[in-house]
Amino acid sequence: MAVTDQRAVLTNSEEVTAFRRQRSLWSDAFYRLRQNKMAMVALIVIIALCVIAVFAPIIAPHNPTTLMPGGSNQPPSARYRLGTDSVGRDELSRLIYGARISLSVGIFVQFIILAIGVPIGAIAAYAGGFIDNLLMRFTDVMYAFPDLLFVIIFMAAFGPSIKNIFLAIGLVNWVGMARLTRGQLLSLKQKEYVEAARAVGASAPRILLRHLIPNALGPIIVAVTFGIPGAIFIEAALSFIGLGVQPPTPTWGGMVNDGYTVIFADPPLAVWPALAIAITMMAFTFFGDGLRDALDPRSAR
Amino acid sequence: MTSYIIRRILWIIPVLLVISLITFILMHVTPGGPFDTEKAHSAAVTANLTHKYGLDKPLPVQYALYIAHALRGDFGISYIYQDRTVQSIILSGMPTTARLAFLAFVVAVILGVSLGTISALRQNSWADYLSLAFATAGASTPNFVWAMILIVFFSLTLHWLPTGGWGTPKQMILPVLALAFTPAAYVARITRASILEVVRQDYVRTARAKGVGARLIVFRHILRNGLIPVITVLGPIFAGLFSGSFIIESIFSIPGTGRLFVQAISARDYPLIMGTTLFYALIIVLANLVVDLLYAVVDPRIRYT
Repeated sequence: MAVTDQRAVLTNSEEVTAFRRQRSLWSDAFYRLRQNKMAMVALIVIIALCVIAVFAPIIAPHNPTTLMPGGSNQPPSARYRLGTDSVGRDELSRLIYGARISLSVGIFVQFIILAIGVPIGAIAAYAGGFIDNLLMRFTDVMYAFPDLLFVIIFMAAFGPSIKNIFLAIGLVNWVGMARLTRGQLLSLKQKEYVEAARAVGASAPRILLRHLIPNALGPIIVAVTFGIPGAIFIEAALSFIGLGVQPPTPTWGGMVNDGYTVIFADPPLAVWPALAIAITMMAFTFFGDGLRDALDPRSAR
Repeated sequence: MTSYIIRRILWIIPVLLVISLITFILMHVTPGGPFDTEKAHSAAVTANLTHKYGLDKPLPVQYALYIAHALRGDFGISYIYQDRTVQSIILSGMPTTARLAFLAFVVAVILGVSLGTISALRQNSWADYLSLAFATAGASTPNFVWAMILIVFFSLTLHWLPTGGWGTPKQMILPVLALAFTPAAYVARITRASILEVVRQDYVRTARAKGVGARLIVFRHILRNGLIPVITVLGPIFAGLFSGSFIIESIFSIPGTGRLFVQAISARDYPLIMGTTLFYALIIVLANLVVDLLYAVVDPRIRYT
């Protein structure tokens, strides 16, 4: 809910001061977010992961795709901190480069989801009637599409490039965003300031872009944050079954699969990328929890 | 209520039609057919096969024929298993996938609801922190990561359980747990939040004040109301377990429909891809319908018209 409920804010003495010091919704939310230790730790992890992904060529000790002298399945050593994989490549360097795929999928998919979900939800809510019905029925249909199956069919049809991964995951996951936007806008539509805007002759696009969508931004941002781990999971699952970005490009899902083939001989090879996936997803989930509680104090437990 | 159910069941038809159309279009966007890659075939054989399966007809005709046959319950013959119909292949894998998904579902709900409830009723105790740690960390751990952890721990280190196969109860434990843990954590999160809310309600205080026993309060007042939000997510959870089980199936080499789908994709086995997708979509729609109906049973305030 975009408009801060003052009763909820004023129930907590700590928040009373916050409310007095800073009055805008966003700085208020930002203050609450900073107070949330879990969310801050998660944010630090996310920033660290982004740095690792961007500066992978500098950080990684070796080339992630070339075979290292000394052969495959070497135990951890000073030269290869996590050892080498079953082909003979440096596991740590592959892990570092793998962050690139996971994070870019997690984040870019959200842009596609926003680009499809928000307009569909907004138009449905604003137009109402037949258009609303049509758009929402289509949304219902896509909701019933098994998302992993859609992604797999899509990848098989268009080929396993990273652009297609963004598209495939985005095209099947916008449904939640459309429903959320529609729900938010339906209640915002009833507000006096929207009526006022309409009364002074504001056009429909202006009301949507200047009044309705900005006020629904809070829940949308929270949904985007929660969408990131979801997209990371689908990409990892896709790479795991070999339909993601193709080898030798390192992906965490693909590394879990590579490690799994030699799990009896060298269990850590599968465990490291598995942990990387779990930690990344967890960081975004915790940060999303923090954001939700900060933007909507009433939902805080 | 009856008219609501009938309308919802009729709605399944257009949903499956649109999904079949999307799948059909996706399958045919790339040029070439399933028989192009077979080196052993001469051009004439390929042409014959293409003709036999009707792939030389215009696409709209192919689609119309598919739907016409599907409406009569004929989903075609698989290309990879040339002597078997799609329905017989799906039906032979389904009991396994269904059992796996159902067991995982039961484990997820029981584990999640118990952990969430204990957590909320004993707020800030060690039990709360322990289950909260599971609930927060587990919900963002993918099922194949759980599978790795379980295999490394129970199979490779302790040598208690096998790493694959399907049939004996021992072989079922790891895949069921690997599949169940993520949704269990999710259910625990929702249960805890919802029960914490309910515990503070006036009717709980009233019940306590008038001397209702602690156990009765938990079961009749707290759980009955606190589990309503949990029921809403059960549909998506069941559907997710069903359609998401194929990774677990391939890790533990379980002969279910999921593995079949992956095979069908790489062979461009159109009828099998179409059949499995529609089958999974049907499960999702039905799961959501059941949940919506359950919702009305649990919460009499909800009326369907």
